[in-house]
Amino acid sequence: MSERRLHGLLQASARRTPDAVAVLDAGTGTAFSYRELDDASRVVAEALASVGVQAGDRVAILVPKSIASVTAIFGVLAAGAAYVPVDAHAPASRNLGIVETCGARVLLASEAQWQAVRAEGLTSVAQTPLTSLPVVGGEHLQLVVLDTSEVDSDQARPDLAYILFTSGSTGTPKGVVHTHASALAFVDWAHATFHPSASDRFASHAPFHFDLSIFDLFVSIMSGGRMVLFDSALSRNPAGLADAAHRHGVTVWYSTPSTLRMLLAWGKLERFDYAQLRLVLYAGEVFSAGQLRELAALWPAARFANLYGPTETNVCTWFPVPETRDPDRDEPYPIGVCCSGDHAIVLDPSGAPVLQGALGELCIRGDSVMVGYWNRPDLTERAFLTLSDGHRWYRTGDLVEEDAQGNYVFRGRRDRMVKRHGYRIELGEIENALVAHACVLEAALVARRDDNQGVAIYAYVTIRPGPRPSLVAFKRHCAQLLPRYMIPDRVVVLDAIPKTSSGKVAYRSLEDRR
Amino acid sequence: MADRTLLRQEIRIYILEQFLPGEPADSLADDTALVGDGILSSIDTLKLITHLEDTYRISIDSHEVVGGPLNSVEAIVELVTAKQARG
Repeated sequence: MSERRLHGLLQASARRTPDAVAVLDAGTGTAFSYRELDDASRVVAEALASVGVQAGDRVAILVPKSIASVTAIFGVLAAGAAYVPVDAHAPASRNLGIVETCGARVLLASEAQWQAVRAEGLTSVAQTPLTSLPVVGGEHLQLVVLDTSEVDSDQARPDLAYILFTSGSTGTPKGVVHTHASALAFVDWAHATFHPSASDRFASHAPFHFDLSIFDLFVSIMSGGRMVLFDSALSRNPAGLADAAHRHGVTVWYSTPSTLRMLLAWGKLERFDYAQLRLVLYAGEVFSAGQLRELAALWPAARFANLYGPTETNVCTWFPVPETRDPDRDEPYPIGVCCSGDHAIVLDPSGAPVLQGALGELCIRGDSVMVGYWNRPDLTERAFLTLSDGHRWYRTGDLVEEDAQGNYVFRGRRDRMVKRHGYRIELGEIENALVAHACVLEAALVARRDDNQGVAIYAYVTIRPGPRPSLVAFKRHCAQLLPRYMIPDRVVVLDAIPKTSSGKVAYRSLEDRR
Repeated sequence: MADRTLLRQEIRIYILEQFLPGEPADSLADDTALVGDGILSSIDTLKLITHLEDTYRISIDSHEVVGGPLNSVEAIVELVTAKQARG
């Protein structure tokens, strides 16, 4: 087993170029050199060790995106524990559920976030007063020791690196467990493929609970380059984002197509020349060839590549977009071929491999694939398939075809999972939230294609007798339970939800409604 | 004051028609939290900003996009009025 660890990447760069800027917050202008980031993360690691944190323990991080949150991540890893990043902008009730589900030994939180989860009912605080760790610019991390004696999991292995929680179909987020080895498999591949250097400036656009951040955090630190942090406010402001990317000389950009579309529509990109931007990577959604051409005309020095991979596998296939692009191409580019260390197979519903060109489910095995879902052996068992070759394959749920050049081409999903702004959404999780509304009897959701945000979400509900809640009331209710990207666009009250002859929701019938 | 009342009415109508079609006017109060209550998605917010900039000939800076200044009809009225007063 490899002894390499993710935080070793920081330590190596700090030895090599201690005074180079490791991370810069584009919003505040605050920066940390490699030495400062390494020193500050060691302080966090020592504080965690002093309260008994050890390998296999989980430390939840509930801090808005900032140098403090980067410090917390490397501090947790340096302590030998696994970090569990939690969306500081999601409802406190959802965040509390994640902190409790992962059995976090410690919560590292900003003061405001700590107050929010405490008000929500976090009761397992084991030790007071809290330790308050100064990080940078007056920011502090609150170190909250939790009592996790009731949580038991055989996944608490010493090589655990992080757990990312994604939307779950039954209404509860599920935790994707990665080890240092599975993360490094992707990081090493990316480093060998894109040749980043100490002169690169990486746009860190994704929040840290989103898997795109693994590239931003660890590939940049490994290269000795500069990570330029775009916080959530800047990320939602395309003109400001375009300006900041130019001002900070970003050379490597990695985001969802949703963000690229937002930049195209509202970023006023024509203001700048972006001569330094050499590499643009996109993942998480389909990006039309026409929009890519439009962007390439504004970013002429950049090479483009489509990266593919669910959170469960890290990036596992990729496609370098040809520099000579067909001006008439409409179809999105393929998701490409396997990254080194990973293997793919396309299976029919019976589990038999399909012929080249036939539609089937993409299954992946290899070095970058997750261990399983945190404390959910039932979900883990369903997610993997052991074939006659003796290997355990992760079922992506994505339907693909293999083209004549050996590239996989994405065709759709075999289930109800959808992508919005690049985030995975299980529609069942939103249905559960709507049914929790006092007036709602039944809820059924469908997603319709939307050029701006990936999909628009339509909720169909039946309600109890009495006044009908407004759309504002439904949205307000959802905002208390769900992250913003999961709030339905429309809520339609029906007399009855259409059903099939077997009594199941007739989603096809709902999809046909207008 | 009359202008301010008219402005409030225009902004309410725009938000109702664009983002809450078919909803009764009284479902949107002047202090309804447009962002905090999930009424506006991030794309809706961008559409709203473009509309405000084009309609009222103002420029909205990056730090004003998210949060307070655009989080309610009343806050938007404040923002537009203040920017128009500054010319």
